[in-house]
Amino acid sequence: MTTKLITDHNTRHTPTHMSEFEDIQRLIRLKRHEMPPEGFVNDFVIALQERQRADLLQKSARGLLWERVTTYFDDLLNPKWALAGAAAVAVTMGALIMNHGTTSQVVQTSSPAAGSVETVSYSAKDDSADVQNNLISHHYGGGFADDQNVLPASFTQPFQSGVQTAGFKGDLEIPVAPQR
Amino acid sequence: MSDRPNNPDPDQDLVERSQNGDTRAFDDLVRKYTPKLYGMVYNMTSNREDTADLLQDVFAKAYRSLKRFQGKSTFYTWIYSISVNMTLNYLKKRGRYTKLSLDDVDSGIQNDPDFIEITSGGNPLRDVNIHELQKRLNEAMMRLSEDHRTVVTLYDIQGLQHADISKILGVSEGTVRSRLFYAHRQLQNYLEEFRK
Repeated sequence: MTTKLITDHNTRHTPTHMSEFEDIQRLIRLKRHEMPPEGFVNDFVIALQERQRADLLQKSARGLLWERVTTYFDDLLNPKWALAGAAAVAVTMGALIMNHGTTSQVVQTSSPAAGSVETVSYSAKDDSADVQNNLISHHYGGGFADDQNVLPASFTQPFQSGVQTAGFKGDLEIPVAPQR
Repeated sequence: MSDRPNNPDPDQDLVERSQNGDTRAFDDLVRKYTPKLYGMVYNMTSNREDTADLLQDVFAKAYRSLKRFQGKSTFYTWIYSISVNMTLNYLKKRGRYTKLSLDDVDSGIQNDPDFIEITSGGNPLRDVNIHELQKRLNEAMMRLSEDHRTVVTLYDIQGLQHADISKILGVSEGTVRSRLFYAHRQLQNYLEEFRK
């Protein structure tokens, strides 16, 4: 048997240096007798199957979570929400543009005619001051109950044509349309 | 890496069935290759717990990658490549810390002609204890570099041919022979006392 082993060995190791290490190779080959415990392979296959099943379940759980996340975002990006969002943006933008446009118009209106150069200062404070002064004058001038001091006479007089203008006196003295 | 110009892969049927979702076919492949790959990983790590864990990872990865296996090499070469690469990666992570946890030596060693010769009358270590010998061999293996240990494991212990080893490792046959030469020379120094 030993002879056969050496013959096999020599046919395998043709290079000369292999025979030089023959002793050591024979020694190392004894490691082939180290074996896992009996039944290792069957236990190993069972453990591997369990692991694969667990991996599969974990993968399913991850898949489920992913599905829920994508569904949530799909709902979020639903056309109705997108439409509402777009409308809100459009309204905001519109408001901003209109506000900006009014300011520009006032400035443009106050601008001098072409050819002449004049600096125009626009102050919103000036307008509000005028309005406030007007209101104060109304108040100290007798208020709306005595509007003949402030309002034009036609405003408080009964309308001949039967059409009535606004005003407290007008409310009290209901004119009677002339009979024809 | 095509190592099968004309020879059909003996595992082709099992591989195709596994690729089509037949888990029993994959179990058969696992049963077939576990003993061989166990030997390879064990002799690289000298730790049986690590070996079992690594082998689980190897087959789990093989199962996940099986769909991409196109049959350009044999399944045997493919699964060996996965095992070697994963074992080398593991050894790099583990670093130099090594705790030997050795398998039992089967009773067959008593009838092994090499063992008989080592323990025969002419050998100064004829009274050597089997377990002591096992420990010394494993320690010597662990002193080799990972590349050298790999070729010694595949060639001397597992009996693979140079050509197969070169395909598994992705290096030339010349490199395999060269690594073997240096590995043997180192082992000769480490195990001097066991030589005649």
